[in-house]
Amino acid sequence: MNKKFVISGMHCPSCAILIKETLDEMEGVESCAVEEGLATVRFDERKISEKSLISAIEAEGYKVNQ
Amino acid sequence: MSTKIFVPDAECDSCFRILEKRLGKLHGLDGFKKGTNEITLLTDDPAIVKQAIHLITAAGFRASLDPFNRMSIRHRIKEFFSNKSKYLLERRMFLYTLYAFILLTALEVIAYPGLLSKIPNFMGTYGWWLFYLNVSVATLGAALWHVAAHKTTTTCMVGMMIGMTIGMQTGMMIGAVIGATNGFFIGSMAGMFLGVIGGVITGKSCGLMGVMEGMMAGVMGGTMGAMISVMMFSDHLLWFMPFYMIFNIIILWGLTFMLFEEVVEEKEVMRRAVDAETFLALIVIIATILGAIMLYGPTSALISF
Repeated sequence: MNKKFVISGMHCPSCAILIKETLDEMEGVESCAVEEGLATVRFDERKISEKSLISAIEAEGYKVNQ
Repeated sequence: MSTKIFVPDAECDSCFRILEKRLGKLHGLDGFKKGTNEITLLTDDPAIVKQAIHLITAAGFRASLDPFNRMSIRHRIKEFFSNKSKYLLERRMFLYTLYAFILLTALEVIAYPGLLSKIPNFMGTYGWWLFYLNVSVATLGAALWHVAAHKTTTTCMVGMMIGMTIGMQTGMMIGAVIGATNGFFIGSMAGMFLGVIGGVITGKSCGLMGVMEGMMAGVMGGTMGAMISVMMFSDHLLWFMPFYMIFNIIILWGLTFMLFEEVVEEKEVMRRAVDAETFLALIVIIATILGAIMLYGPTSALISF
């Protein structure tokens, strides 16, 4: 499944790297691309839920706009 | 039992979170403390320290046990003349500035007999301002060319500085020149639009902060540049302009050296510039549009030659 998350609170390239690394480490995430304010994630819904992805991003201090 | 590692590019919480995550995976490391542009590892085992430096470098940050000493301006200039290969891109920037200025002047000389000479009192009214337009477009264009050649992201502070400098200087120089011939409104509009575009293009290297800073500087520089010309119009404006241009050019060239120190020195950065033909073609297009605005665009009632 492909999902785009609109993220607020990102302000620099390090924010994008941090979010990408966090998502990449999660089991079930097949690929992800993060740019200013937007993360595009391809994941296996059987292994990980959309809610878990949002929680992981928010745990790093960002807000996912739903 | 601790080792300090200098990490000059780690500026914000996100940078340190990346380092925390990377270093957290390092076996044998008891912990670390973060400071301003540095981290202190709670170990003195050389093998772990070496691995930590490798991990930090792999994350895109400079890291060293010794502080990164900045070169003095004098030393940098001396090296610029002695080490040609190191400053190849910067040397090309200066050359391209010269080429662009010569090309624009040559095109105006060619256009003079058939086109420009038909404008009443052309030399007295527009001569100096076309010269300053050529100087502005050539120096700004080459500085932008140089910044755009760096295919990398920058830290917030560096990106904001780049966006602000290009946005501000573009607005100030173009706004002042067009403001002197066409008045406050057209001068501000030309300076502001080009300043904002230049600020956004260069500021985006660090993300939204750089873009915002570039836009703000473009708006401010464009309106301020035109305002300077209009306000000084009856008070030795032509005497003022050489000094104004020289300081603006020094700032732009200073940015080039700052960029080298902050983004290139001791890093592996891809630098790929647009070729000379494309650069010169873009310069001619921009100068032609600005020249047309200057010569044929609306003129404020405040400006009377």
